[in-house]
Amino acid sequence: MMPAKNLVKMVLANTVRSPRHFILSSFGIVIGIGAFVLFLALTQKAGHVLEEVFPLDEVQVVAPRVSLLGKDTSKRLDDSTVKMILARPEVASAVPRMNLAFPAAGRGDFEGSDLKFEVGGFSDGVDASFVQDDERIREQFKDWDAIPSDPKRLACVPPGPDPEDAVRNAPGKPPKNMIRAGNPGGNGANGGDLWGGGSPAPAPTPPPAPPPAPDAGSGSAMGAGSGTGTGPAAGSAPGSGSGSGSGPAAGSGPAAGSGPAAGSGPAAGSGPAAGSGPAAGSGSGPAAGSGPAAGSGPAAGSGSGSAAGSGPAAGSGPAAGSGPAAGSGAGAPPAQPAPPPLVINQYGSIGTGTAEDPLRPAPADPNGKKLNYYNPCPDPDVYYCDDAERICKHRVPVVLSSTVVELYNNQFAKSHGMPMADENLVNFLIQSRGLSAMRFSIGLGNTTIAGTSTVTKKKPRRVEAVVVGVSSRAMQVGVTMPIQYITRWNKEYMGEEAAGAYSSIIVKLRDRTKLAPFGEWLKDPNVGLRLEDNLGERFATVIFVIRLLFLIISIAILVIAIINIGHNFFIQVSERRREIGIMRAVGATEGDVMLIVLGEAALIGIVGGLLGIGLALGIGWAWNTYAATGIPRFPFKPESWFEFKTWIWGSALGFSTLFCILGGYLPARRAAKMEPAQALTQN
Amino acid sequence: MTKSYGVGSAKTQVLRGVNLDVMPGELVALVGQSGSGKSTLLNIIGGLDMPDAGEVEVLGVDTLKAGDAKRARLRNQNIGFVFQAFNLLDHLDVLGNVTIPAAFAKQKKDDTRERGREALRRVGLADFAHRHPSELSGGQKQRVAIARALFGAPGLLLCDEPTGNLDSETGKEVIDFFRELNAKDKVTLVIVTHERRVSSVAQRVIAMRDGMIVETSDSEINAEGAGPA
Repeated sequence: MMPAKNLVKMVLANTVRSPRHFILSSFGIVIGIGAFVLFLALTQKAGHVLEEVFPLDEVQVVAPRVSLLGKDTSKRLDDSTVKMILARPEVASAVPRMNLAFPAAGRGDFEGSDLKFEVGGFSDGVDASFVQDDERIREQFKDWDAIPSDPKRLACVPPGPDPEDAVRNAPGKPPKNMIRAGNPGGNGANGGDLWGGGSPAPAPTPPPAPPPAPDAGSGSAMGAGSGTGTGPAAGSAPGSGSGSGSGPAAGSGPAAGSGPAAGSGPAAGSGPAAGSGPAAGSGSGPAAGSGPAAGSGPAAGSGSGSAAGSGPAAGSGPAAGSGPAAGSGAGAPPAQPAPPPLVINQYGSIGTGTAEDPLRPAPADPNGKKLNYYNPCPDPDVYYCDDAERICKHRVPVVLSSTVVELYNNQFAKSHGMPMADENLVNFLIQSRGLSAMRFSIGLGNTTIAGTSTVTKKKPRRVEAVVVGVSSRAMQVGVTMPIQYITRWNKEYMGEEAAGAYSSIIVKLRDRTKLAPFGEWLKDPNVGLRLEDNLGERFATVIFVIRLLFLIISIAILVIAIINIGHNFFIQVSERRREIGIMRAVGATEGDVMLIVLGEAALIGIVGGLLGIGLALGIGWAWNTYAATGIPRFPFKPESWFEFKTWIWGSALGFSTLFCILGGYLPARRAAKMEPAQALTQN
Repeated sequence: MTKSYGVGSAKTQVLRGVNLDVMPGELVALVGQSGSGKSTLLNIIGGLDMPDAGEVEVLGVDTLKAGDAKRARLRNQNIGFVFQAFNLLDHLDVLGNVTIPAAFAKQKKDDTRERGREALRRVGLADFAHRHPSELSGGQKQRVAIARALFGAPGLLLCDEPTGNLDSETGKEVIDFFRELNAKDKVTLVIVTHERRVSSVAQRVIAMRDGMIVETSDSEINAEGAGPA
């Protein structure tokens, strides 16, 4: 064989001297390899996007659905099932998940717009340890109710009892029944902050609260005014006494609590009297005489006071706080010593003595009437006044999947004229504006789907939630929260049975090859479980088929190109008969001649392949540039539509060279077998 | 040896039992009409063609039994060819044409170009190294072809109608050159020709007709042929 260096030199020289032949031969290869690279890069990218949407490294075990006469008799997934799965050698970890078993509706706002959505079928509980995407999620995503010692669990009085209203009425504005009449100052922490949307309204600064009346007499009495008009009432009051105080006595005394506290209760007496004075305190309740008299006086105090004058004036007895104020009471003497002083707690609300005892339940309503809304909860982004327990609870932490964010963007944001969000934006909002940016309320037992809330007899109630982040582990479509919440709610609304049944078990296998044996084991009649239909796997199959199709197209182009190359080389070999003869005469072997022709073919393959790759890169770049603006956003729209992996380039170059050599083989063989004597003697 | 081309009724017997010995240092002319088989015989000697039957031994190599590679090496190192049509490669310059055998030489030598120039000097074309064949006259082309044949310093030069495309003056120069080559360098020459002028310088003239050697003569024919010249 001739030296390789000489071979390369000769191949290059021969190629350079016949550019037309080169262009004709390489044209098809450039197109074929361009298509090959482009298709592979495109499907490669598609596969990666797919894996992002449907992670393939985990499987979900579910119970096959079985129903008998319309009744669900599927196998139950419970803790014993989890244990059984964990015992399998293929399994690395198994985490149960539980769906909310009853309807629930969500409502919140995002960047100033009201959002309503169904939560019932779209919420998922998993163990907190399963969701560990970032620092904030690790910190926030846990069962907060499991920490009863949280000092922020203050007693509170929730707003209106009807979560339907709470969930369905416009957030940010407390429902009507939360507006306290006659107690102008009363609304300490503005109700708004209970509502998703409401920015925490600064508590109206109370007018400098007058010190609690040291002596009932003064002021407080107020007045009772008209109410009493009658008789004796006033009289006795030590304070102002004036019993009759027909006048709008009120006002005067320190009584008038500006304090927010003022419950809506009757306390507020209609009388102008009401009002001011620290009285307002929680005392709300009973204090109020029916009469306008309603001593708002400090009496209001905890209201417990029975002091209430019996006098007609006061109308109802208890009116008078226990305080000395008692004013209106018909001559009732100061019943008791002064009540515990009212306290303005650190959160701006006025309470009675409760600040010293945060866990003390909110005051009861002896008359069975509604209590004033009272919200001492700190940090309303994080804590809310819970309907059922009447204490401040940490909001339920939820995480969203990036799918939800994409869905919001594409299905919702545009049609509702709302701002676009992406994962970064969600994280940014949470970081820059705190959790208030992403909180909402959930009406348990409620639904946005009319007329379907029949599975549970239990009265709906509201809980508040907050989005703490975007997680790859979150349920694809819906909200994901720590499983303990779901378990408790299912138990509350659906009973023990529901609370122990998992919807699926997320199983992480030791590696992918374990999928087959694990799947087989699940099918065992004694196990009777199955793998959830894996959309990812189906899509992967689709992409595989598409890729195969693309490959076939590329290869078809390449095959045509090869036939073309073969044809061109046959022509060229015939044209170069004499040249080949000369080379044989001066010492070229058959092998040398063959190598020269194959070398020229390979060179076409290499150069054509490189040009094809360049063509693919160019088209890819052009498409990306166009698609960035020319194609509307859609879920998981990629920045680059192609993934030009090294293996794609490498195989493209390899294929093109190999195919060209194949195409050149027959002509090369013919050249090698040519009779040199004939080639030389014919002119 | 025998040789035929074609198959069936189209089969042509080119050589019918040719028996020939050429001694080292001889200058032999093969004469005969077209189709008498002289070119085929020459190609068989050079290993460019194979006989159907018989034996061929060239410079101690049995070219029938030797493989393609061995025959190629024989041509590359020990045999030079000169053709009527010159058979130069038009895309190479003169020096490139002369040194082309080096491309197929197994042993790499650094002095390829120098040896190429030396071969050109011998044929009197030292100044034409970088001309292209298309720029040369017929005689010059043939001298380039001869330089190429001499490049590997072969012991055997096979010439097929070397003067066929040349005018008589140029032809004479070529013939003189061959004669000198034979005399000085002891190169064995086998020249196919139908020109008297060429055969006149041969030590032995072998006449062929219809694939057979019909006559072998030396000096007398030489003398006869030389007569009119």
